[in-house]
Amino acid sequence: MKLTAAQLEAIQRTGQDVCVVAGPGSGKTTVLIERFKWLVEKQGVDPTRILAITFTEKAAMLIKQRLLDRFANSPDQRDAIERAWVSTIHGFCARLLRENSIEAGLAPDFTVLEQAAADRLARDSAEEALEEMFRERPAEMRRVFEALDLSTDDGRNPDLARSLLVVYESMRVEGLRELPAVAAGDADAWPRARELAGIALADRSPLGAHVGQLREFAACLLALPDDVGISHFAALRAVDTFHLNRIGKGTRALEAARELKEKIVPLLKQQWIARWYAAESDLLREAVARLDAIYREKKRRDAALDFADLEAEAIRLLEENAELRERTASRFDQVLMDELQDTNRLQWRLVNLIRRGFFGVGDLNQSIYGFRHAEAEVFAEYRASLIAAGATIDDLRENHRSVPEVLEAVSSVLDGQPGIETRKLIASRDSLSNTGCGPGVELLIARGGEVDDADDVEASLVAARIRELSGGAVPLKDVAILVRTLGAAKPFERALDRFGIPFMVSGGRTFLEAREIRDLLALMAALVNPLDEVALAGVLRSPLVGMSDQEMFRIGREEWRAEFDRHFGKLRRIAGFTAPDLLLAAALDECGYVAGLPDRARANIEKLLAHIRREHSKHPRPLAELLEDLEALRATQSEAEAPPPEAGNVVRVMTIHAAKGLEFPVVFVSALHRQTDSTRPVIVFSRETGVGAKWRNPATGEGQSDHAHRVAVEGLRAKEAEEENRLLYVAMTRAGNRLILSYTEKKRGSAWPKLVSARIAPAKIAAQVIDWADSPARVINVAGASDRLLDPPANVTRRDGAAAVTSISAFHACPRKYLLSSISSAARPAGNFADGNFADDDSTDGGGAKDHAGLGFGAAVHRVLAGEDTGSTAAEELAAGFRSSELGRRAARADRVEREFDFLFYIEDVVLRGQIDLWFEESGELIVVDYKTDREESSEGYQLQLQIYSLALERYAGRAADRAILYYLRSGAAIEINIDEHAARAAIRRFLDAQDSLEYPMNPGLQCRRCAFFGNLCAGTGAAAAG
Amino acid sequence: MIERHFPQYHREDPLLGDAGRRRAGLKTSSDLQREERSLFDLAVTRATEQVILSYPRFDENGEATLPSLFLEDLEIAPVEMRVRPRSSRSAASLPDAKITDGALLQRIAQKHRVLSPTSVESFLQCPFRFFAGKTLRLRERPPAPRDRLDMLAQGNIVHTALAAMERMPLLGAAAFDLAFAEEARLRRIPATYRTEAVRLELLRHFTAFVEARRFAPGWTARVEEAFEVALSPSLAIRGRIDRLEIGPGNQAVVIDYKYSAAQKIRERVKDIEMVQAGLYLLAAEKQFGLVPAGMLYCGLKKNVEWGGWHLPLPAFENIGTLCTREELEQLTGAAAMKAAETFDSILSGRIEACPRDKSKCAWCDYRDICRIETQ
Repeated sequence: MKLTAAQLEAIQRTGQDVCVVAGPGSGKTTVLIERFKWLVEKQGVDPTRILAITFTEKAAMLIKQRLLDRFANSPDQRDAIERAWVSTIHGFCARLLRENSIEAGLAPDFTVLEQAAADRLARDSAEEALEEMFRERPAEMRRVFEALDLSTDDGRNPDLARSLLVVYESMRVEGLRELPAVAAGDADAWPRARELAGIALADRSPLGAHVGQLREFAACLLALPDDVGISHFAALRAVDTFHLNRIGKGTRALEAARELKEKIVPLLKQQWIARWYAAESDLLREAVARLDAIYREKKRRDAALDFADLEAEAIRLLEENAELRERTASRFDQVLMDELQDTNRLQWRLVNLIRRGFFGVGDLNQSIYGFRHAEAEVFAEYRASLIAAGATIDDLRENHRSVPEVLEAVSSVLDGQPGIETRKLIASRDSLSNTGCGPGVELLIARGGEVDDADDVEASLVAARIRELSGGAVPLKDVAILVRTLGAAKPFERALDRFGIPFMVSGGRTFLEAREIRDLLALMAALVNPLDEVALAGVLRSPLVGMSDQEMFRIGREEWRAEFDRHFGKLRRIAGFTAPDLLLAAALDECGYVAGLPDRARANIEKLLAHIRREHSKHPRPLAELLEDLEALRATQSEAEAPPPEAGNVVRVMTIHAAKGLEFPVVFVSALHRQTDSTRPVIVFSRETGVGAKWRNPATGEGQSDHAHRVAVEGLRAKEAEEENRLLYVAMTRAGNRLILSYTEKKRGSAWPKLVSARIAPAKIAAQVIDWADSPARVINVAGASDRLLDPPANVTRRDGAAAVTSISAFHACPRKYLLSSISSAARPAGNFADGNFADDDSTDGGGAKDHAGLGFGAAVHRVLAGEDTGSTAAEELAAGFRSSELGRRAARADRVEREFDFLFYIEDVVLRGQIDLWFEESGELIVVDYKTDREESSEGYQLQLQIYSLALERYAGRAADRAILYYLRSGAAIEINIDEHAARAAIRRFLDAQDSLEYPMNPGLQCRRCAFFGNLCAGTGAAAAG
Repeated sequence: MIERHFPQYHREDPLLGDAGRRRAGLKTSSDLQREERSLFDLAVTRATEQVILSYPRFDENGEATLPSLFLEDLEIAPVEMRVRPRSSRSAASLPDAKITDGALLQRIAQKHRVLSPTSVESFLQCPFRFFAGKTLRLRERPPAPRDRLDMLAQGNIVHTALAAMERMPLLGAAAFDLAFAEEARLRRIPATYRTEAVRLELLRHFTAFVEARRFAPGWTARVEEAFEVALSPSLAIRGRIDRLEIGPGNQAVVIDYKYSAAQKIRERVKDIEMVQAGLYLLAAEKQFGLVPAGMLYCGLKKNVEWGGWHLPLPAFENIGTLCTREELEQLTGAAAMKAAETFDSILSGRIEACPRDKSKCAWCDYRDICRIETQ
């Protein structure tokens, strides 16, 4: 694409910070990439001296990819781009913190918690905090439970724990470490209330039916004591007993009554409720503080940071360390940032710490992530600051995506609406109207009786229209249906199915409801717990096994399990240590499940496998936990941001949020009438007023907001209204050739239908579901090429030709632990990993590990004994102890002696390598010694090692060892080990066999307590705990 | 042939840079880079007639791969091929969902000779739900401790408490505490803050109901009455009535408590497929020798909601709707007939998944395995 003059100007702007206001379809990404390219090519900037921050990882990948393509011919540049700082803000923080982990006071190998894992940890913390507080102060906490009208079931509605987490999150986004005390609101309304009550009583003049009630109310108010009690709330109820139009006009009493009713009483309610529940409000703040402490501790223990920590820690690091800040800032000649309107204040503070030259791209009208605390004001302020400094703003108004009709519709519907900045978009494309395509913008309206009927009418209108269009040669992949939430997509799925139009729903959880996905999840559940008969029956009656219900009834429950085992017993045996996606893929391949499925079902399966794979690689976890997470995903409304996979020629159905940054020739913006769930939070936090809540009025039992709650909720409401408009803006501007809007004439609270219908004349109004047979054109779905079937690879031996002796003894001690530590290095729990590493057999340091952090203490002692100087006095002491022992003295006068003796020998079809601590020949006796720095209790595991050493020694020393001794340096105990060649050979064979059979059973016992995988990756938690 | 595998990337050695290496006569990174190229040329030139270059579209993690630079240089249009392992057995086609075997049908008839109103309604809602729950009796895995105080347990507590209060009026509010403690013991519900929050909510609803209830003066009540009524020689209906209000002339109004919100009660009263009301009235007549005068549902969650039908009785003004004796008889007759039909249908071996009201599938324990897609 050729760059426009405006784009070029923005790309090449120098001498000031750049602010590119990039409307939809103006080539936002192109401008950013071209800027990068221009800086490198024309300005000679080293790619690693540019920091590019993108909103999503996908965008970061895309930019890197496009840059790599541009510089395909210069390997040096490509290499530099590979290393360039192109990432999300979190990616940048992580890299910065890792590179400066010492200054930041963090473990260099800290892990970054994925959102789901962080949510779970935070959720657990909130539960623990509440539990703790309830144990300590049950009576007070009971009052909290009673005071708030929150859900108590653990379902979709927010309960106390969830509500506190929302508050906690808002607090952190504000960059706060604790909740401030509640800010004082308006002045106390009580004195004025008394004054007005006095006026109402004093005025003897008025007539009117309700004067009596007013007087009674006023008297009641005046009689109240100053301390707020239940009687206060009861008294305020009487404000409803009199109506203003029943009190004599023009009197002072009426004026007083009006002020009381309209202004003072609502204020009093807020102020009194806040006072009445002051203690409970403090408890809520304390609960948040506790949850914070617990959450921090959990993260510290796992050496983990969540996304908010990344930002906070990076800011802290840069703010507190001027030298580092200077160094970091000087590292980048230019900072490029996209989607600036979706940045929050904390992120902006961070960027401000490091930016020298800055190039920001954004569009206020496309800020739709307010619910994730994005603040469009950040962008607005940046732009204003540049204008104030007399700099030029690059305003890209030319739209290369949409035909003029679409842009006109956008402008006529949304210009002047709250939250929308009126900017004329200039279409660079020509209208298509003279090519026989009809008008570019249409409105379809469904009328129906019952709510759901109308939704189905609308969906059928949309499906019929797609059919018509596809008859007119619009490929289905050019069509997208955008909806506000995926919950609204269901009628469209039904209608598209009925019309035989292939489609794919992007993102979201709906695919978790699909039949084939339920089959696979049932399989996972049955693998996890064979006693889950519902899951078991689900697998048996699915095509995975294909048993009839009749047969199931005949054979009875014992046989169900046997049948399951016949098919999936092998999977169950390897389930503990095989990646779950591979497990499912194996099951699918084995029974050819996928072959008979329609495309959509296949796509669903691919999506599930990809999801599981992604989840597992980010955060490996036991199958049971993964399954729980999937079910949790299913239960929540939140939509996973799954990028639409390549799907062939199908219609896309997705949310507007998911469509951001995408474009389609034909876009339906549908179900305009559907509004998102607009339940207001019971507890809120805002920067201005602190924590507020809607409390239970002690006199009436009804909900009553305190001041902070009311202000925060009003703020939320206004923001949401603005964001709704921007969301519609984003949706409408996705369309290239044709924009079709549709809704159901049924009040559901959304403002969109009114907004749209005021400006666009409906093209079609229908009152009943359209039958697919009535619609004129046909959909032809070109089936994709069928799969080529390959025979599964033969079971080739996976044996290694070589192995370390320590591996064999580790395997011998516990095959499962050996497996986990050898194959899943990524899965290692961070920290606490003293004895997961078998490469150094003495890293099991037990008590000594604490005072000798860093390199293994065991290794230090070995080096001392081998004659090196380590500077460790503790190591010297232990070594001296050995030298003075009888064994040590014998070694000193030996004829032949070898220390740290490396060997390599071939036995039982494998080359073994290892290192013998010490062997010597003295008085005709050949002795092999292995020192240990840990405690004696673990001697069993080392026997095999010594036995193999003595076999090895036979090859080197020419004869078998006479004695094998395990020497415990701490206690000075020398333990003689039986030299048993057969046992050693058998152990080696078992080790090799396991590599073929892939069977790595657990060996539960006391040693499990010291195992890094205990209660973590090892499924044998229960058995081990008992042992 | 994927990027970074072939050719391999050779970066400059961080310790000994290329300049140093050149001086020392060692290979520099660009030498190594060139070697990769000649390796490729060498491989390609081994062929005499045809060269086929291939690369996988996705790596072992399922991430899309980049083709090797060498492939890009060649500018050959790729041929894409989807491969999949051949399966060792073919996916089973699903057999008909029906019991046809005579012996099995007999077992079913034996098993379901006595039905509860809930079972009948379960079958009417969906034959598979009935089959999975009542015939196969699939056991779910036991709930985790935090899930034990579920809606069923909460309903039990309220029912028990109401019955206890009726039997021992002196207990008063203590009836609730006893019922709660008993249920918590039976289900081993942990005493967490969450349990406490639920308890307080239950108690609030319970107390609100107790304060608001006004039962007919002069009427007597029987609570938790079990019954078993034969509909035919081969079918009996068994159940338990929460409360029977008995007034002058042995007139009886059946009351059924539900710990559910008002909306549910309204839906239930509207739904003509429900048999519970009719069967309870039948039991009142046949088992207890009373004259059916009304059936009322009482929803206790949040606000108290009454729904149902009764004869014009001064004691029950303002709750439920008025009806005639004929209408009550119709209700009873229709329910008995539906129950008998249901029984026949069960005996015929009908088990297919076919929900009458799809919105109820959300609460079905077997919704994940019935293989029909709802919602």
